[in-house]
Amino acid sequence: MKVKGEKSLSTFIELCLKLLFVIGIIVVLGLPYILQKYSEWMHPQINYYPALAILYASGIPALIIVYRFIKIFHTLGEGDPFKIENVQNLKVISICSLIIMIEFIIGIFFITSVFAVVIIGIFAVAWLGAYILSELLKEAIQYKEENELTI
Amino acid sequence: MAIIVNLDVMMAKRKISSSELSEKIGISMANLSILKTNKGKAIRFSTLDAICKVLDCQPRRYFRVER
Repeated sequence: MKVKGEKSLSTFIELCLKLLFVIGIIVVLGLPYILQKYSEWMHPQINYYPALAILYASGIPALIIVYRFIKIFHTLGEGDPFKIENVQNLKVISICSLIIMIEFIIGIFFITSVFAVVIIGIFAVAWLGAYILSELLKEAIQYKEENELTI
Repeated sequence: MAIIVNLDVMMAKRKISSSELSEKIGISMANLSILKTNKGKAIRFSTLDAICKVLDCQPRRYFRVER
């Protein structure tokens, strides 16, 4: 299976991410209603307003992360991911992951759930991973330019 | 960088066009153009060897070091 270029795995993932982005926007917009229903039915000990604030403050960086991933996979679909914009995209992803992680460290006092701990773990890995990948990509771009200008 | 590529002077002496030279060396026109306009960062020995064979002279003819 093709990994990059037209009609490849990355264009498929780009499509999935676009769908996810739309779903994400709907969820973020409908958050007050969803959280109300959730706290009524499942989780009576949830602290409504602080939880809402945490979820909003982490939902928006999450949307930014998805948007940046769409951009990265778009360049992959075009066939040339070694662009300096992708370094910037990965840096933004790492910063947003860090923000979400910090928010959930605070949020664990308001959202008493195992998932909050899982989210902290995932975004700690995402933060460091995205940062390291952005630095690696920067070096890769330098090597590629050097190689292309060797005749 | 202070290395100036003087390839076009030698090409004029040998009366060879860019397209003909690139074909004989076996590199693309785009790459030859990068080399001629001093945008290149390095040159492979194999390319240099091919240029020397086609233009029939020594490498020192092609480069000048600015100080």
